[in-house]
Amino acid sequence: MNDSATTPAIGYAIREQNRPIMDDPAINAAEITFERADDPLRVDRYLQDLDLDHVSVHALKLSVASPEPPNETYLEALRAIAIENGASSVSDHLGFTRNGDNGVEMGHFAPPPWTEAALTATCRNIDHIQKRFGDTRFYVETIAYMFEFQGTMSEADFVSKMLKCTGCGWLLDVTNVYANATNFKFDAYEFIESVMPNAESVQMHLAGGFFDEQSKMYIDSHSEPIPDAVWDLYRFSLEQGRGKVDAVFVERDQDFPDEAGWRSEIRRVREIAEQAEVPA
Amino acid sequence: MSDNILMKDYAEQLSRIATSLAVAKNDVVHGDVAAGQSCELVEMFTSGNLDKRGDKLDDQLEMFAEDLEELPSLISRYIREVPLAAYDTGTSDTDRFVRWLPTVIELTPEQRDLVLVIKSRFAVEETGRRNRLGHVRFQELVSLNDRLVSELESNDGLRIHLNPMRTRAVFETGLLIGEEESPEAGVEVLFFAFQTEVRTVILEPEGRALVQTLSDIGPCHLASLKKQLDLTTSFDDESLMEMLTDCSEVGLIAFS
Ligand SMILES: [Fe+2]
Repeated sequence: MNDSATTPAIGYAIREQNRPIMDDPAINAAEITFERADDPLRVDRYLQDLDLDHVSVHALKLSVASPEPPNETYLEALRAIAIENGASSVSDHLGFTRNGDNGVEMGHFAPPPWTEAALTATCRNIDHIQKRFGDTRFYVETIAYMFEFQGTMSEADFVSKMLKCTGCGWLLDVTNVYANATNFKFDAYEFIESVMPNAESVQMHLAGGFFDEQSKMYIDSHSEPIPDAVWDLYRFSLEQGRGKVDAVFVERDQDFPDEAGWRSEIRRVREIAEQAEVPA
Repeated sequence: MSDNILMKDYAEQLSRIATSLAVAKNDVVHGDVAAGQSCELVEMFTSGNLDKRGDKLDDQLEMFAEDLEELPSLISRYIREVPLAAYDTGTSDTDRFVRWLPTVIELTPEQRDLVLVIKSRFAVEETGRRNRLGHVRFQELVSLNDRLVSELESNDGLRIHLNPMRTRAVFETGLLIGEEESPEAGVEVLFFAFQTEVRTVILEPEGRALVQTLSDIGPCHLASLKKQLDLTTSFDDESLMEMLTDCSEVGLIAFS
């Protein structure tokens, strides 16, 4: 393992299927999905005896673009999982899953309208969350969406302003940007190049999906190996974010690879990160 | 426009979008979708979300499958009528489903018992959620049960604790305990947490007295427990020891 200060910590989003290879020498980080770890009757910590350099807790229901900040019970439960597992960061998605506090959940996040009002609400919620988490850094993830709402600015502008005004970390899901760029016909490289300078610190997600012929959309299903186009975009993102990429996590939720598949994919993630440290 | 009005409009817009998409009323948001983007994709979004919600309910309601033929159609009606609640947890939607069920169909006594199982399991989980430390501490004590149970009769200083993560239910029928006849007074069952699972024990009158006493005066020494039980029941020493041993084996009580 290369422990140079500039190499990001690298690992998987933990699933039962990849636990057996979490001791691979290429792995020194893990992402815990909060909703999986938050078993009210748990006795042991979710990480069990894994000892890693970087642990991040990934939440699904902070709903940062909602009109109201998340409630205390949810924040406290998230904080408890972060503390139990020695997490140095917490993350969630740039989107909304619910309306108000006593309201309803849609079941998945939708992107906010790219408007000033949504930006104000999002920044205010992020500030609230960051205050609550103190030294545990909060990252906001760019999501893959199937549609957008009418807005007054581009997504890249929205994300850049959000990062600048809150100082939160950017969880750049490289595959999500690739999916959105494919589906909504914009340049993924330009998007990353324009947002990256506004981020103080960065985490990345990598995953693989498929192109759905019926809807003519790239679906970020986390069910396939990482495609070549995403590997290229990952390399570019590392170069753009050199010196401020803290961690990279691979997400896989379906059609799991065999042991060799798990190991080779994460080794490639590390190899590319180590190569990207050396300026061209 | 002032900031306040902008924010109020935004809150209204998001509320309208979330409440309609939560139950797949897709047309409501067609006017909000960005120009040139297909509203069919909104439908794809909501149907994917509802499918996931339905699959989860299907899984968690598996025990109903045999006794409730119309379960699939009820699930699909429920997810279109009752939106997922904010901060839904892994099992809260199933708990809400079984609370909704009697409002739309008349349940048989057997089905009411199945509803009670789901509600009780959820109630134990919620007790754990509210008192995490209590659960973890009690499970630490339970891990010593094998060793300490042998000291029951010899160690006067041993204290007996009742599992705080528990809830009581009375079944109307014998279905869930494998009996054809429905006992007249019902079947009293205690649901309690053992590590990450929820276990059940049937409470006979002696067991009920023991649980009630421990709940009233516990944690307590064996001597106090005996004294209290003597006042209220006709327990003999031997059956008390047997019952305490059984309860410690399943994790309903622990010692310190
Ligand atoms: Fe992601």
